[in-house]
Amino acid sequence: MNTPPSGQAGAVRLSQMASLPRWMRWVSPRRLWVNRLGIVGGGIFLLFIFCGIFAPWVAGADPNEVSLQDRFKYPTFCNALPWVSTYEPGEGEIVGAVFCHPDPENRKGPLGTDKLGRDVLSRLIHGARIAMIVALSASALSGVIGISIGIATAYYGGFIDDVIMRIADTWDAVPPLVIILALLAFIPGGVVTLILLIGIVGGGWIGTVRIVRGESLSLRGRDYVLAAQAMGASDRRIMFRHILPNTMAPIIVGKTMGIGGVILAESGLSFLGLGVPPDVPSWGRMLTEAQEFILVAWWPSIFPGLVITLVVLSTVFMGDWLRDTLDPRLRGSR
Amino acid sequence: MTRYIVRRSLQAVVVIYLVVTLVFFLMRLGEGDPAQHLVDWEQDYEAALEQYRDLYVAMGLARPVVVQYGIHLYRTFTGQFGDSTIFNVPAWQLLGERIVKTSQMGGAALLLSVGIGIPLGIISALRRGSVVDTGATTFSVLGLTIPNFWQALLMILIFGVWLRWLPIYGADTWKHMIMPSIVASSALMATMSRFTRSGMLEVLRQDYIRTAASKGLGPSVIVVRHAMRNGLISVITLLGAAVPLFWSGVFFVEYVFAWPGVGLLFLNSINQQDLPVVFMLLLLISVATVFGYLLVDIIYALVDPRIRFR
Repeated sequence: MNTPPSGQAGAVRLSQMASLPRWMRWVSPRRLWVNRLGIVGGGIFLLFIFCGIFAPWVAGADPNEVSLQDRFKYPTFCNALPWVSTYEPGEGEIVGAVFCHPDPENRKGPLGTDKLGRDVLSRLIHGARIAMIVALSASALSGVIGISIGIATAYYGGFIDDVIMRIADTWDAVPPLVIILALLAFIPGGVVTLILLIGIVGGGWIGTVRIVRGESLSLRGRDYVLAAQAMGASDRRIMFRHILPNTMAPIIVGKTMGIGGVILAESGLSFLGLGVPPDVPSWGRMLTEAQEFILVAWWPSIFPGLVITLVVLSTVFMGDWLRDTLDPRLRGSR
Repeated sequence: MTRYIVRRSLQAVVVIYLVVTLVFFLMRLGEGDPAQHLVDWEQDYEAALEQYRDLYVAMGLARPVVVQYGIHLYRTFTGQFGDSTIFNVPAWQLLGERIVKTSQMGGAALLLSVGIGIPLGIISALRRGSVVDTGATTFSVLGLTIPNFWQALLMILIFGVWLRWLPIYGADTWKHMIMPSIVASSALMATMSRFTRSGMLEVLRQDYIRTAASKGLGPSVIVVRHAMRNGLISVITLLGAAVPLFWSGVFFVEYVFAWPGVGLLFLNSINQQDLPVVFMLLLLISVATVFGYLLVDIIYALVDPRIRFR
């Protein structure tokens, strides 16, 4: 499966020669082929971050511009597919059952318009902004909490370690989604609330604590740590300069894969109407609104889901790739 | 063994106690106190204030926090959750029919994920690298990345709108149950097949499998009698981790398909700020989860004699 395309074997050997600079070895056809999924995943993810940052310039149309005479316009690519269907729905017939309906006068959204005539593509691009803000902030938050607590447990050990690990066990015992939902019953929702809830209550930090703690315990007896100790390094210095950097690889991999989970959580909560405020375009909310009219139009309920799946998939590919690159011990473990 | 079960049960009780305590403090975390949520502030302000004062005293909020906590513990463990503010009946009365509905759908989902996930995992382990294996692996990645609410919408669109085979919401006939249980099972099915595959691959490498083969036993005997017994142990551990997965599936599926179960009741109570029902369900789901873990741990210990009971 991972064999390079034939005819490039020579290039592989050439690039592995030590005289070549490091980056050239990295971009060898073989490496690119082996890492193709990770590269595609990383590319897609960067594209979404780009869309999130530059949404107003990329999108063109205003995502909140209501235009009632343009409700449920078919995607404009339907105009290019006149052979798919020229079926005219009869009186009282379900319109959504018609897959494509060419309409040469339709110049609105490339991916159609929704129940208020808003441009679906533009809303998707603006949705990337909120998804990325929540995903990156919540992951960073749970990462910082996890690393701090993990270091504290490994550093002090004993009683604190016991207490924190029991808390972590308890946290695992209750589905985080249930607690987040219950909290949203009386905390007003909003972007910041969402980030705090997913980052803290979501329990992503527990995994990080376990990684930092486990790795620290196993690294503590290594020769290089003993050597640093013998040279008179303080505990603090050993912890931050010698042990923590060596726990970073699994943390980065875990957090990268965790981003997908956060995006699923955010879009899920928005789908349930408990996430971001209604005036912010978000993928989850687009899907809820689309479901009401699923008998009328299929495109508003297809594209947002496709985008969510694509982002989550890209984080999985990226995580796999980072794991193979950063932590060679785990290579091929799956 | 008995000691192990007793110990694990005690741990479970402690976790439930912590959840009850958490619920108590959560009630005070929101804006205002619980009485404030029950008062209709739209009416005449003086009357509302009067009503608020009465409720404040009647709910015992004027007492010291420690006493309130004691009362909360007593009420929770004797099952007095208070009246639903929306339906005006005791909260537990809302459960009956809804638990039946959720169990029907959840049970069907569980059967589907075990019945399809495990055989799929076994086949893809036996035919490693084949089309079936690649398909199953792709399927299991997609099963975990496609959000289940979108999966539900896709199914509604395909089977409800375009093909018109199945009803798109409600819970009247057996036909209504097909799409919800398939969607609720998908994430679990994906993890099942993945764990079964890796468990089986692990076992098939072992020496005793080669011994069995060299004795001249047929492949089906080896797989069923020798490999599966050990290969499926890891799947049992998975069942424990699957409990939260199951609940998140239940919420979204019941919401999308308007399936009148516990999950939908929970979501509606949250949207309508029906706090007694929210807290009762929070506790119920936590208890169900904790005992789910407990059950899995005990089964695991029974099945795998290598587990030492510390």
